[in-house]
Amino acid sequence: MRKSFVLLTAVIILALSFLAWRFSKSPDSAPVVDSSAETGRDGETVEVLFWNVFADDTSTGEFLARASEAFMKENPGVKITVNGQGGYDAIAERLEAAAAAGNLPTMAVIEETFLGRFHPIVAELSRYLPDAVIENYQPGLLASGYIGDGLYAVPFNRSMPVLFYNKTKFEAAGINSPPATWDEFRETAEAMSDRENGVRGAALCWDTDAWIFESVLYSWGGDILDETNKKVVFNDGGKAAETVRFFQEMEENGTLFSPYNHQEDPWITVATEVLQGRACMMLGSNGMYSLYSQWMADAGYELGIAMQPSFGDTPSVATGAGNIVVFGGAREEQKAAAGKFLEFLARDEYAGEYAALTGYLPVTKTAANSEKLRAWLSEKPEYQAVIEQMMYAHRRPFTKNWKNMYGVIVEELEACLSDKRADAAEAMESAAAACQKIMDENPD
Amino acid sequence: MKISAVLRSPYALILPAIALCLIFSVAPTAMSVRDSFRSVDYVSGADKFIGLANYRSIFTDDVFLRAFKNSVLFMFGVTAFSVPFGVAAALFLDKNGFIRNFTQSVIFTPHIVSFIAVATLWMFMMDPRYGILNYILGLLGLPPLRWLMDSSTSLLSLAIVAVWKTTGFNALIVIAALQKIPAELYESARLDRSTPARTFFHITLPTLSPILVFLVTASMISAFGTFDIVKFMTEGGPRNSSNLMVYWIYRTGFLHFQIGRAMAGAVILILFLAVVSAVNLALAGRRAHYQ
Amino acid sequence: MSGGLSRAALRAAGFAVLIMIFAGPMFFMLSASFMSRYEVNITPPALMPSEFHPENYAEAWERMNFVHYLRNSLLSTFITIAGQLLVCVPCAYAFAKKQFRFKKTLYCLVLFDLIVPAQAIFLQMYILESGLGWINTMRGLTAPFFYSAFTIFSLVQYFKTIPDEILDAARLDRCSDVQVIARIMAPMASPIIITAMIFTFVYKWNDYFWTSILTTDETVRTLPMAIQNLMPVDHAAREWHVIMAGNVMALAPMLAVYILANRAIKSGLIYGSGGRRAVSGKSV
Repeated sequence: MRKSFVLLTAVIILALSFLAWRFSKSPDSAPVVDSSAETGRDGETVEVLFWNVFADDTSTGEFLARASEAFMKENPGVKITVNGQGGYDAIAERLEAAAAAGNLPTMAVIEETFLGRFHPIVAELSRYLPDAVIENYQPGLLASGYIGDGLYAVPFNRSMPVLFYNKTKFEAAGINSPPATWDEFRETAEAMSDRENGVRGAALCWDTDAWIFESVLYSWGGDILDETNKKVVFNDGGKAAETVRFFQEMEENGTLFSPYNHQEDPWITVATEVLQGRACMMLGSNGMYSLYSQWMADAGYELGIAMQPSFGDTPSVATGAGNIVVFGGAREEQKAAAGKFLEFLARDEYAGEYAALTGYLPVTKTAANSEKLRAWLSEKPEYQAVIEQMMYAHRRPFTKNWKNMYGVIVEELEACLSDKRADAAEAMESAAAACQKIMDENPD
Repeated sequence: MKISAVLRSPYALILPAIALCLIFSVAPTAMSVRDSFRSVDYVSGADKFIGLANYRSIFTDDVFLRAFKNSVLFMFGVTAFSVPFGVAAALFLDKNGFIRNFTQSVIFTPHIVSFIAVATLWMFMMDPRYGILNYILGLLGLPPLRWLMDSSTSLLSLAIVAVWKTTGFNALIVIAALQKIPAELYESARLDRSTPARTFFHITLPTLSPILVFLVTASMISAFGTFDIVKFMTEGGPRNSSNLMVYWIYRTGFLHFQIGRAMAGAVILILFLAVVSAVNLALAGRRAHYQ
Repeated sequence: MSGGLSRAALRAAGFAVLIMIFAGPMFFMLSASFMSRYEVNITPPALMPSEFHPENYAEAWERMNFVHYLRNSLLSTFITIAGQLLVCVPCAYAFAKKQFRFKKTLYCLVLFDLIVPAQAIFLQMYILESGLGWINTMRGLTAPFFYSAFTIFSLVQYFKTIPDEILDAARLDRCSDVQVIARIMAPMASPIIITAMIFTFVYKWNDYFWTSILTTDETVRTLPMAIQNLMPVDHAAREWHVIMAGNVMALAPMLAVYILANRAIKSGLIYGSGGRRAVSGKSV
């Protein structure tokens, strides 16, 4: 009896003190990395938790599993755990949640633009990486990892939009080179379309983060934000509307396939159309090159890859995809181990193998020139175009609000290519206004 | 003596429930209200009082207003069908008998199926290309619909799923209430040569009215709080045509991490539901006097 | 004569329509779960599998890691039910049968959850449980749900109808409150207690919302999350035949409970005050 009374009192006191703690707790202090599970004493194993974008059974997931295995053999004091999170949005959302809860991983892959969001909690990397390694990264890919003079992210699975086309079908139709400009794109799509048999010249997915739209807009001479990173300019002078209208017209003419009339994932729908020969070309990420080649080969076609079309002679494309960050709240030995692992991944054998395995860009200069990758490239001469395209990389929107903004943009873009087509001018205008509101209310 | 007195006191019996309620309901709610007046950002560490700015922001946000409007529409739409359908089915299935009992069990089944299963099942049936619903429409000579993919039918599609899932539950509650009506009432009505319509309006309906008020209130609250099927079937799209309040709060708070704005929306949600409950209770009080 | 006949025909049509509307989709789920990958994506849609593919179940079983999630579902459901019995029954007894100061205020407090929907407070719940280190733990998934406003409310309504005389007799026998609850209240109120626990079962078994908020990995995730895992990420195609097989597997235990407890649910509803739909609130 006495015991349970003590217990009851304890519960009351606990409840009250808990409430008091909750009400007094504010997130003023920087979020900390969850080190409770990783309290290795001196000489014991340092645990590094690494969040990867792709699921564990994808080629990236399997590559990282192999690489971390090899790394741990070289560094017995470190244990790396790789966890696939299933998408750039998903990983960003989980990092936000983890920051709120104070249980961030040690390191993570984020879409390059998300440094704009997470820079308050990530570590400066030059302390953990030798200069030689930093200098070896491709400068074009490293640029988005800098804030001022500080380096906060390094490239891992990086890509650009490219044009994928069905080489077999193109050759059968007597078209020997893929379209280099948007006018040629439209004409080729017209030529390749076979309306009676439901074959369309092209297919288009804007991507879940409007990445394809962004890149196409750059090639149109537009931009998302102005130089100050404060003003939304993508529809200034009706630029975005003009871009969207171009594809809308193609869709109306029956030369462009839109995935937004289907319930399935837009990327898989578009890729399936192209793969099965019901559409003849699409914009996509070069990181999918190996996978799509395989799919197309299975369906009896050869996949072609080329630069994203442009206006006139100066192409302009978005770079994109994954950079790796290390979180500042991790313990010093964890950060050091993470740095060592980054160094390991930047070795020619791994950076080169990863590029050849997937089709992502080789992230270091020496890997790009390594024998292995040169051999791979010699089998795929077309891929050279992708590497050249790196020169034309356009600056990307750098704001913590980008995710919320592209959510709005994608919503409108999808409407413009679905059955009940939205008015492009109106849709882009309202998207621009909504994005400006987001930026004004949450200044960086 | 004193100890055993405390232990014997009723407070000891309610203490665990009160403690859990304070910790897991009252405290989070209080924190939500607090955050709705603040700018909270766990990444940058910002946490400052900003007055009504969050409320101003959401009331000038087309997406929030759309979600609120959708939720109200959805609430009335679902209730307007699931409760009358439930009552009709109950009247039809009242009384025992094998086929009636069997049918009662069948229409209740959707209630015990998880929303995830319901969502995947209906997505499969609503597929514009391969779905069976369009096939049925075709058999009836109607043009195919794009169901969840079309901004003019997405909310309707979700409402159909919600009505399908909840009608059986309403029917079962009404059947239970019907079986509590004393048989003598009907007997005397029969002796008075009352018509079935008269019997329904003079005996059945008044007896049912408390349970109906309960059903309408519960139905409205749950429809207004619909989340799972929105998240799973449409994610609020296309173009926010099927975005509902709760999904908006979830997306704003848990995907966009605009915590202050999300919490302002949550406060509006709580206030709205409190008003709905109060209005229904007031109406119920009025009705009770008629009996 | 003919009037009687057409009436019977109408009634039969009524049953047929109701069964079609409510059982039709379930039948379709079952049927699609045996179809081939090809057959779930054809026009016009197939109503019945042309040949049976029970291997869909094997695939779903494997891909869902069914046993793991089934174990979690069973554990979290039964822990929650046990917890509610320990927390809610005594509380309801006190509010129904005892007199004490601040009773009304405290009762209002306990019913708090009836108006505040779970979705309004999930973010704070997540932060709170993170602070406790309860994310991805079974206690995090169950302990907050030991208290349920709905369960307490329905029990109070029913307990009130038990005559005081019976309790007075027990008190004369110097029974403690615990004994009164165990020996008198619980047996007498068993239909409503069973009904309330069945609603808790349905709610907890099917809960997707809280599981998705309060877990970040697979350790304690339950069956609805396993079905979600069958839906593709990373731009893969939806395999409806496997998803439907997963649905059937997740539904089966629930259906078994429902068939076994069908009678108890109905009698509970008739004796009790009625239930609340268990879809939106934190508590059933």
